[in-house]
This record gives sequence, structure tokens and C-alpha cells, in this order.
Amino acid sequence: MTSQDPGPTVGPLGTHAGVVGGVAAPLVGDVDKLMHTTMAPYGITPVPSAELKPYWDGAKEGKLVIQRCQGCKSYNHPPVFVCNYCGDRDAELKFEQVSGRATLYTHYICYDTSVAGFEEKVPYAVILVELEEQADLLLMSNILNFEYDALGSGLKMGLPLEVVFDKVNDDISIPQFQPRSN
Amino acid sequence: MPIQWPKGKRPVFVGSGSTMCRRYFDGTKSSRANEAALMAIQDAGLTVDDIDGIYIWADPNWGPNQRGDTKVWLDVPHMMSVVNWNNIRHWIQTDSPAAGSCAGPQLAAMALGAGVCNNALVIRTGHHPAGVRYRQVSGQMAGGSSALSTVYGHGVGGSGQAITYQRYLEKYGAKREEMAGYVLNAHRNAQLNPYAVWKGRQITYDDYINSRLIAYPMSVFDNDMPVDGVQAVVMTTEDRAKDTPHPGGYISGMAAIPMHRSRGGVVDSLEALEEMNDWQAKNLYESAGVGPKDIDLKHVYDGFSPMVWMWLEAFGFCERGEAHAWCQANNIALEGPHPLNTAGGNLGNGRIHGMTNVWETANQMMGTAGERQLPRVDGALRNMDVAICETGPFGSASSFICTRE
Repeated sequence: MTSQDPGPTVGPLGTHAGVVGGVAAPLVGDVDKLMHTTMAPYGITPVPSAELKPYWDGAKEGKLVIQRCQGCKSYNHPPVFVCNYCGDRDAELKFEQVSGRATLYTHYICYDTSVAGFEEKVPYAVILVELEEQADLLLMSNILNFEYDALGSGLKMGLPLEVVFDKVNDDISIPQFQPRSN
Repeated sequence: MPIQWPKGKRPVFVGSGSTMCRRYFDGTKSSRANEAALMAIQDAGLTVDDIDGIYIWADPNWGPNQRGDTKVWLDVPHMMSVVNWNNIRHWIQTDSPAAGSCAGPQLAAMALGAGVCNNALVIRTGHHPAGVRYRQVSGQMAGGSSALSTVYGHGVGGSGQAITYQRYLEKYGAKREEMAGYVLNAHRNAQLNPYAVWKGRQITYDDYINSRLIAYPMSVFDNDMPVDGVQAVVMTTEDRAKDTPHPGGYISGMAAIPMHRSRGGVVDSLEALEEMNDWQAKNLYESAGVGPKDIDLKHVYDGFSPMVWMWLEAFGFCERGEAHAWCQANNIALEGPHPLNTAGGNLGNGRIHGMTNVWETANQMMGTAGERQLPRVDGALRNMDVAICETGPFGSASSFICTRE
């Protein structure tokens, strides 16, 4: 390649109203309303690591369990070897069920994915929730049983949510969040 | 404590080289690496035999699946076969995630300062042949903590940034439209960079606002374009540099981000990222013995546009939560008071993982930036003596400060 190079080749510019995978996402006028009662079928499923086995076992039984330091009582997620809050090597780290109550921390609307099983679902929201037990204790989720639009309108920080378990099969359930019922 | 180099051993840039950065290139990585390396060595007034150190950041996490060549980057063993080296004494190839392309010049600087080598090559490749989807997520099983995000359909380029960006927008009352200020300026700067993938094609505000959505609030123009291209710099020590044509950019400080609040496999909170970013900035300034007001030329990582705002705040160029208003053409243009990412950054040049900022910092300090050379303010003398260069995304970054003299 030299300075006489004919120049870069670039793809076409996006023109209007991003069209991705056949799904139109108009930026003006009516925006599609979205709601999911389940994200199943999941094309990709968790393989529980030794560290996360209690988490996925809990989900299978309909319980949200999070590793908690028995010394300083802080929650750690994902699980850790030494508590990230007190660093006490002698403190026991134990999985405990939490309330499942959370608030919406942030989100985005996914328009382009190559994650198996999700290509046909775009656009969909991916959210982070903050569990009520502790500041900065974040879990990722989609949002179920809640209507929002394709630009995320309605998904505001602080929205009260609760956990619900989306069953994949007899061995696997995925924790998801939905608006609180009370 | 500021860094103390041995007398005469201050590390400095003396040469730079770049291939054309193209969307796709079906040639070999070897030919491109050879071209950039020889250009940088020649620019330094040196020969291949003068080079005795090679320093490469070769993060192994990046690579498309394609045609038996799984890497976008080029490692040192491969680099050895690309040029007919005769005098290599030392090399390091780091896979550190907390690095980015600043890891190369950092390693070279430390080796030069310690006297391990005399003339160092730093190089980074992007290799992107046609017909390959960049970073395809393949398979139906998600292991370890990645399962905590992948099962929700998360994990495609930019999505981890989009989720943080949305928090930023809501928390600080910023608007997606304001990001056009940065993106259009990066593309404008790229028009003066003969190697940039976007050279010759200036996008407009409407192009940006209406562009294809990837992970709303981010669209395709908020993500750097994977390109095929190689950029390289040559560094030496102050005592040797006086015999080279245009030395400039003496390394005076360096830092890497602490990752103490990073949670592997899941997205970190905006607040945790801000804390880690701030620590890197504090350590960088302390190592160089300067502060934000001393910095004339600013290069921060823009592989994903939202990072620019957060880095500008972390490095203290504006207040927290105000970069969305600050990062507009009146401040950041080449003619403005705070020129930013003057070669177009990743968004304008194409994705070489921050190496464009390293390359351009060297160019500006050496006075070889051509049409982009600063200062550009007509009739008003302005110092352009101290540069900051940061590469790498949130929670995974490194940086250096250098001075023209």
C-alpha cells in the first residue's frame, strides 16, 4: 500500500430510520411498542461454573440467591473469593436469598445482536437493576410484562421492579425482572 | 512522585508510520505490518538494524473467526518474520486487558529508560478481511460469569457502553444529539488524515442522527469501524534522539487504570467506572507532575463515543456531568482552545484500538502532523507543549503524558 492507494472503501451510510435485520426503528412519528411476557426460547443457556452453581440452582427453585459476606454482611455479585468490601479472608461467604425487589438502574435497546436466539427478537431492552439490599448491587436482565417503546421511552431510572423466573427447561430458569405487583 | 528518568534517558518519539486504514483488506497482515514498521523506522532516520526492541500490546480477546487466522492483531513472533531484523535484544508482548495501545509506548519507555534497548518499535495491527463478522458470538452455551449477561442477549459491540451511556444521559440531563459535536469533529479531523478510513467522506448531522441503531442510544457512528490497518511509532532516548530528524514527545508520566471496582463478566456501574477513571487520572498527573490546566493537546479513547465525555471529565478538562456541553466544536476543533483527537481518533481513522491516538500524539509532538499540525490559531501564538494520550475503554485503560521539548 502506498500513498497512491485508491482510497478507503466504506459501506453505505445509514440513510434513515435505521433498518436492522428487517426491523424498522423510526426515529420520528410512531415508535413501535414492545412488550415481552417471556424471552424464551433462549438460544443460549448458562453453564454453571463452580462459583455460580448456587446462583443457578437457586433460580431453578424460584429463588434469587446472592453471595453474602458473613463478616461485614455485604453482598458480592458475581461471587468472589474474598469479600470485595471488607477483604476479611476469614469471613464466610454464603449464598442467601434476597428480596428480589429492585429498581431500574439503566438500560439500552438492542437492535443488533449475534447472540443465539436473540436475532429474531430485536429490538428488545437489556436493563441493569439495582437490588434494594445494597447500593451498586447490579444484575442484568431483560424486562418482562412492561410496555415500552423502541427508543426506551418508559424505562426510567428508579422504576420499581421485582424478580420473576423465566423457565427454560426443568434444569434452568433465568432470573428476569418485571414491574412490582405491590 | 513524578517519574525520574536517568540523565539522557528520557524516552521520546522519533518516527511514525501508518498504512491506509480500509474497511476490508484481503492482503496479509505481514505486508501491512512491514509497510508501517519500515515507514516509522525511515521517518526516524534509522535503519532496521538500529531497532533492538519491539513492544506490542496484543490483547488476545479480540479476533474475528475467519480463514484460519483468528487474530486482528499481530504478535511479536509474527512480527519477527515480517521484517529482516538483525539486532533485536529485547521485546515484550503484553496481553494486559488494562492497557490499550498506550501499553506499547509505556513498555518501550521503561525499557529505554532502563537501558534495556536503544531504539524501540511499537506497532499495532487491525486485520479485517472481507466476509467476516467482527466478534461473532458463537455457540449456545455461556460459561462462568459471562452467563450473567449473555443469556439476556447482551454482548455485542458497544452494548456495554450503551448501557452506561444511558445512565449518563439520564443522570446528567444530557442528550444523544449532543454527541454529534464529538462525532462530527472526529470525522472532520479525519478529512486531514490521509490514512483515515473516513477520509474523503464527511458525514453530516442528519447522517449521524438518522444512522442505523446498534444499541440505542448508540448508533453505528458511535462505534468505531473495524478496519484493516497498521500504525507504528519508533522511540529512543534523549541522548540518541538529538541525532534524529524530528524528535518530540518526551514521556513524562504514565498510568494504568486501577480495576479494583471492576466485576469480571458483568457491567460495572457508571459510578464505579468514574471512580476508577478518576484514579487513573490522578496517578497520571502525579507521575508527570502536571495538572489538567497544563495539558495543551488532548487524546482520549473513542472506540465508543460515550467514553470521550467520561474521559474528558475524569482528566479534569471539565466538570463531572458537563462534558456533553463542553465537548462541542467551539472547544475541541483543531482551531479551538482544546484540540481533541486530532487525527480523528478511532471514530474517524478506524479501529486500531487506540493506536491512532498514540501515533498522532507522536506526530503532533514531532511536528510531522502535516495539515493537522498544531497550533492552528491564526495570528495567536499558543503553546502546544504538553500532550495527554489515553487509550482503552472504561475500566480497562492506560495513558501517558509527554512534552514537546
